[in-house]
This record gives sequence, structure tokens and C-alpha cells, in this order.
Amino acid sequence: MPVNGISTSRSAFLIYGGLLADKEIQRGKMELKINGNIKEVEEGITISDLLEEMKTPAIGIAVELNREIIPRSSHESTVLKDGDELEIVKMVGGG
Amino acid sequence: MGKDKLVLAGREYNSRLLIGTGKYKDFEETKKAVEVSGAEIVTVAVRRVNITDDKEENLLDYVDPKKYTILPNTAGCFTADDAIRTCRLAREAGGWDMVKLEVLGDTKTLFPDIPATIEAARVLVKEGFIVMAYTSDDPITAKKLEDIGCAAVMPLGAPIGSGLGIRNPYNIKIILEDAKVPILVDAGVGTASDAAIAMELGCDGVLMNTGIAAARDAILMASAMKKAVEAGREAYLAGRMPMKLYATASSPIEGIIE
Repeated sequence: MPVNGISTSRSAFLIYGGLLADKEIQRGKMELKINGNIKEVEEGITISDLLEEMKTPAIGIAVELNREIIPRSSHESTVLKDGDELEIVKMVGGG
Repeated sequence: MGKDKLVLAGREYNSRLLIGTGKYKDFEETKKAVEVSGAEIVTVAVRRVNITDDKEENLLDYVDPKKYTILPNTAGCFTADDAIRTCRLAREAGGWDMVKLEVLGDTKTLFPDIPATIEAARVLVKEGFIVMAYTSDDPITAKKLEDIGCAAVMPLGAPIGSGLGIRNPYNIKIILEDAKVPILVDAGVGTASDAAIAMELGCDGVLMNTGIAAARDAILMASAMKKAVEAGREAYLAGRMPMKLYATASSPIEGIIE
């Protein structure tokens, strides 16, 4: 099974690979709270990466990071951290 | 009627009918209703993106922000803070600085929480928003909202989504008497005559959603509402005849055959 294969090779790295492999193992996933839901994402992604992954609409969305609005111009430069809380909103039908 | 424009914070609009985009069967119907209504300003709500469904359709693909003035609302907000936060998000989302402020008091009546509405309006005006405030039909509150710097005051005709019409035309009349900002009836309009009555009273416009969306044929009702608002406005400008208790013949008395 491929899963076992990866697991074995990772263990092997852990045992023999030293510092470099160690880093490799630590680099992985982190958890964000997005719109009240926990989502696991790649560590170190930016808001832009996240929006792309989520396929959010190109227009009419806004992002709040830990209750602070992050302007669109800063989405690319804002790196997310484990435990960050985001609100991502869009425009829907309303009266 | 060519030059009779609705002016909101210095911006001119030809249509005095503003419509909401909620409760339609689908976005196609929303789009069609907006088109047929002739509305230039459409309200939208600010809501969380669905994080589990990335195929969800986007309202703004159907109601083009380049073609229509998008008026984000604060529907569903029960505190001043939530309403302010929502407006800030809306401004970030599309640069929309004109907002429909509504801070609700309870879920059963959706009547406005007046102190919270006033509190939110103060902050939003200070932050440069063009605030159109949904309020009760109380003339004192309407005046306060105007004094705070709201660009328009929007008293309800009846509870949101009730379709009960203009329940207190006399209050609306009092609000209109010394208003210096546009007054729009927002909420309660159930059918064309309700919209016409609001306009005949002298309102600057009417904002509605359910009155169109919940009609059996929403598109046809959008057309009816367009005509009702125009007819009511023209009747207001024309100045109605005085009411009299007894008849006055329309045909001449002279020359009747004997």
C-alpha cells in the first residue's frame, strides 16, 4: 500500500536522515477555524492560497483574520498560522 | 418626468424602486426580476462563504455590480457591533460604502432596535458610510437618524415580509413633512397599490423584496411594482384633487336635451 510505503520511508528518514529529514516531517498541516468550521490546510499558506483552494468567488468577498479585516491587497502577503480564526464572507440574496 | 431623479448622497438615480435579491426561486429569477423592475439599487446580504461546497453559485454573477448599485444590508444583526462589522466587511468586499443599516429587535417582528440602530448609525456615518437606515414609522426617530447624518431614512410600512401595506400613512406623512433627506418606505409593501400609496404620500422611493419575490409570478409583480412606483410618484407630483363628500358632475349641465 502506498500509505505504508510513505510511512516506512518517513520512519526511515526519521531514523537515518538527521536534521534535514526532521524538518521535512514537521512541515505539514495546520488547523484553521474558517467560518466556524475547523479546516486542515498546508502549513504556511497565505490568504490568497486559501481562497484559491476554496474556490471563493472572484468578486464580492471579504476576509477577517482574528476579527481584523485583511484588505484584498494584503491577501498574498498574509501568511496564516495554526489556530487562526477566519471569517470569509460573500454577498448573497437579501432584502 | 425626465428630470425627476432620486438623489442619494449626491448620486442620482432614475428609478425610485429599490429591490432586494432574497427569496427568489433561483438566481435566474432574481436577475430577471431586477431587470424588469427597473431598479438601479439592489440590496444584498453579507453571509459566510460555504466552506464545504465550492460549487456554490455567486449572486454577483447574475446581478452585475457594474450595472447596479449594490446596497449591502445588515439583515440578521441584532447588535450595533454586528451591524458595524457587517458594513465594514461589505465595504472591503466591493468598496460599497452605501449600506442599508438594520439592527433588529427580535426575530418574531423584525422590528428595529432603535437605540442600537442609532448607535450603529453614529459610528458608520463617522466612518464615512452612506447610511440608509431602516427604522420604525416613528417621526422622532426618523428625525434623529437624519440629524446623525444618515443619507436616507427608511421607515417600515409594516413588518418585514408581512405584506400588510402602509399601516400608518399618517406617521409617514409626518416624517415626510420636515425631512431633509430622502424618505423611503422599506418593508411591508405587499402589492402594487401599497407601493403607489407610499409614493402618493410623497415618499422618495420604496424598497421591497418579498412583495415581489413571494408573488406567484415574481417577474410580473416586478413589472407591476415598477409601474406602481412611477404612477404613485406622478400622482404625487401632479397633486391630487381635493376630496369632497358630494358629487360634482363631470359633464356640463348646459345643453341637456329636453
